Amino acid sequence: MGWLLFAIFLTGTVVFFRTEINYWMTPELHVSVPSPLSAQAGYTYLAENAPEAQEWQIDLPNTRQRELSVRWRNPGEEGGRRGGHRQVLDASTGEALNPRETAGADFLYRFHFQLHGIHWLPGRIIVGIASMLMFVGIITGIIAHKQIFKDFFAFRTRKSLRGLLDGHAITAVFALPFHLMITFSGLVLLAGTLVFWNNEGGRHRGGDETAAAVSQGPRLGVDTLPLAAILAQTEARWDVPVRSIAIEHPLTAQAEVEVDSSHRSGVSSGRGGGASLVFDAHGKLLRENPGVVAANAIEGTWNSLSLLHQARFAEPLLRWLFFLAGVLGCIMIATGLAYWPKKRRKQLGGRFGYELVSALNIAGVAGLCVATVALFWANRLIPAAAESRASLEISAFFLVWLATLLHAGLVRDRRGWAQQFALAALLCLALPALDASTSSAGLGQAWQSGDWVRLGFDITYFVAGLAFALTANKLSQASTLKYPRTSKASTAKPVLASREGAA
Amino acid sequence: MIALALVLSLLAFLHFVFCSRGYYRELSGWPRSAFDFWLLQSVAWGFLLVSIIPCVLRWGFEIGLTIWFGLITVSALLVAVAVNYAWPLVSSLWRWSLVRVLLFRKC
Repeated sequence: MGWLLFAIFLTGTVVFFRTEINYWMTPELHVSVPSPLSAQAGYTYLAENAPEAQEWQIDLPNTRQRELSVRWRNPGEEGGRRGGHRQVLDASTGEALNPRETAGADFLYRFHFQLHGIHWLPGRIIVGIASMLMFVGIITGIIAHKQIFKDFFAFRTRKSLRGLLDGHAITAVFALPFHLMITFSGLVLLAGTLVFWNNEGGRHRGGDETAAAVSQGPRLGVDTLPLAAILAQTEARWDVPVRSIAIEHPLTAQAEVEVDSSHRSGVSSGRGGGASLVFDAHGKLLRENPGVVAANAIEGTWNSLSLLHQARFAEPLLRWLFFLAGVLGCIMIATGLAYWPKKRRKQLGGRFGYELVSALNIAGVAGLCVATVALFWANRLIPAAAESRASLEISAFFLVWLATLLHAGLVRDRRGWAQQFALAALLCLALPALDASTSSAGLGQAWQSGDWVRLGFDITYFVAGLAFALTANKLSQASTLKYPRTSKASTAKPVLASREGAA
Repeated sequence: MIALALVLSLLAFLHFVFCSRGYYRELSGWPRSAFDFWLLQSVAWGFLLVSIIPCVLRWGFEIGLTIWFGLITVSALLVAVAVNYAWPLVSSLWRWSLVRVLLFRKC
């Protein structure tokens, strides 16, 4: 179960930056540079390409994405998340961009709550059960480790077994509010699948209504709507940038323009809780929507847990804090997994079950890190025009993971850990070079245009590469302990050669 | 606001370190009394609670509290790193801490 929990935690942590990863994985979008005229560019595109549409939506660039996205729905077409048409545009020119097909971070996102290769329902049930056990583990862990607060800051690295336990306790305690919140909210989000009489499995999203054709009256010119003034008024109202513009019955006298601000004062109001202003076809303010308020305490609680888990409302600071806490959670699980074989080596070493657990530990932790970075490499190395390339990326992820399992089966001691972390380090450290050589815009251009979404990805993985390298180095120093390869390996004392052992 | 909240929570965790029996002895040179413990605990909790205020003022109650939990994670981590890898820094901070200057001049 620990391996599954690590996989859930690692992929879940990575996808706190889902939008940013998706952007990195579609290098065709890297030429897009946000501009104050982005909204007008989107509006002009829609007026030229979807003048008869019932509904337009323009999603403006923000701190997490630099491209402009437009959606429209023609009369009689289905609504909802998958309904209508979508086009990604260059945010400064309004030119249509054609990003490559990619599994992107969406694969990691779905993997972390419904796994892959099996039907979504059993996948979610498995993840739900794992979440429940994690929650039980956290609670019992707090009760069981009586010294947890006494040794709050202690991290005794000179004793490797004690160091593992301290690392486990420190990462568990420091991010305890996050661990409790993310596990409990995950459990609540998956509650629909764990309650067997719920035939929707918590999957209903609503919003599938069909756009009714209405009499639209005389058509208005493109210049009738004072878009710039509307945006300026909305931004001035809450002193935050506009997130999106939705126009019903565009280019007609009945047009209603709802401008969504990114202003949000709480998490209990749910996904649609942002404030907005509504204007008529001539830019006159019709009404102000201050943001949806939860109807009752139960809805407020569900909204809060749901939003906290998915961090949808989070600005960069809070997103980074969530990411950091998620990394601590991954370390907590990894050190917990590594502790058991280390503790039991003397009694159980050489037995099939013990060796299997050791190999699965290496592949489950270090191997998954390698496979995750390999997904990014596959994204750039598989030709952009390849058929079913999203599936190819996913296949590359699982093939690399399988390869790490085979490697771990052969090298089950510290050397296995060290070698796989070294490989993860190599892949991470070389990722910026891969990005620079395979993107439509160089890193210099990204620097000049202030593309911190992309540069932030490269820097983050470079830093992760340094951390993996440091870990691999520590482990390879310690792996000078030579383990005899006979089945009774565990009963023999290791030959000490390390600093730690000598100490 | 964020810097203020971070500094306040760092001070809180430093005082939690100071009031730990082993660290206190190492810093001051003599055993910790019950009075010292409760005083340092009170100061630590005081700093921790006060560090909520800048977060709530800047981001409102719900989001501010969420950010505060994240910030105290960072602070605890930084203090743990300092305690284990930069003890002279912790020692210097103890020498300059207000509680020591005002009440424990003998240390």
